[in-house]
Amino acid sequence: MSNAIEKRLEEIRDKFASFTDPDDKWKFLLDLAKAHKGMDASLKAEKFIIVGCASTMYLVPSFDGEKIHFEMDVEGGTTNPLISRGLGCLALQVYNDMTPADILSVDPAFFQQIGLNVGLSPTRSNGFASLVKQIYLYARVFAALAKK
Amino acid sequence: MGFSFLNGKSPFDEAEERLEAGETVNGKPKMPKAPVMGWQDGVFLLVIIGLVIGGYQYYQYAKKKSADAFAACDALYVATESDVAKFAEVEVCYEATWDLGFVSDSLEVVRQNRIGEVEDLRNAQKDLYDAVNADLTKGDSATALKKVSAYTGPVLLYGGAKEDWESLVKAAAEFEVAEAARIAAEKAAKEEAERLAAEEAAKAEAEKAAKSKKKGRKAKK
Repeated sequence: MSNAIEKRLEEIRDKFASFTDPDDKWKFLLDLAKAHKGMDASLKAEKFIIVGCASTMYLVPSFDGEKIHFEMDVEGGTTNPLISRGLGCLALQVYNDMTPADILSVDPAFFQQIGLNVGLSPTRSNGFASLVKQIYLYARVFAALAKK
Repeated sequence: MGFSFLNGKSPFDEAEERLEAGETVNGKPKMPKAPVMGWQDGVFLLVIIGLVIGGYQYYQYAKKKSADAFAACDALYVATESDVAKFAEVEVCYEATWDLGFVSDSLEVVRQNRIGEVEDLRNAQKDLYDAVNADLTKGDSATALKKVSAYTGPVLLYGGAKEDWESLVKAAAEFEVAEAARIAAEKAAKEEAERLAAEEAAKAEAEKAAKSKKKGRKAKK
């Protein structure tokens, strides 16, 4: 695991450890969601929809030969799925602009270890797991492409 | 009639007029006193004060409206403890809060979590609905309808699935009545068979006893 990703994980671990109120976690996710700029509508193709999310979540990867950049957005029809968007932002805080090797070096159980799943609804929990799974899938594909 | 609290002139105009009229102090022209604030500044200040007060009033109004709307949704949510059907109303209530001008972070957390809870319930019912349909496809309608009868959660499915579910609930109710009648008939038949068997046994026992009595008498003779 590289220093860069270790540092990111440490920061997130510290952030979650600093929460004293159960609502702190949700407020943190809401803040991430509110600060998120979304993505260009032209990128929102059906092939980029994460299967298994209750909301419509798009994850668009791009690979520059070294690092993978992700664009993410969530649409919820008439609602504003801030928690889902916040979860997406959290995933990007860990994995965005990292090398495939760095991404694959992270144990997905990290999110459970920091307590993300505590109080998370099963639907969102499943959606987040689908998102992380998709990120690892892209990392494997780009890692294979980089070897060629 | 027009109204002007400055009689149509600015304080500078008045001072200039006095100077032109030769008003002097100790032989020197009387200098106009500079006003504390120009009239434009005063008007601007009034507008700012109006905006601040208006903004504050609107903020208070929006805050109260939001608190009232969320309190109504909260009451519905509490009511789900005794009536799960209220979950559909809870969802509608929270969906209506998207139009509110002010929602605090705490209320946002509550809204997101409760909408999430309704989503979970809907997904659980959707999974059950899929399982019921799979049973029906297999031809196992008894298992399918038993699953429908056993479901005690709210009906949160949409459109065609909701209509299907309601038909299944009716069918399950009829199935339950028919099943109860079948079980009752089976029980009655079993009881009747047991009664007849007991009668037969008693009769046989009585005949046996009579025969042995008769035999005993013959032996004595």
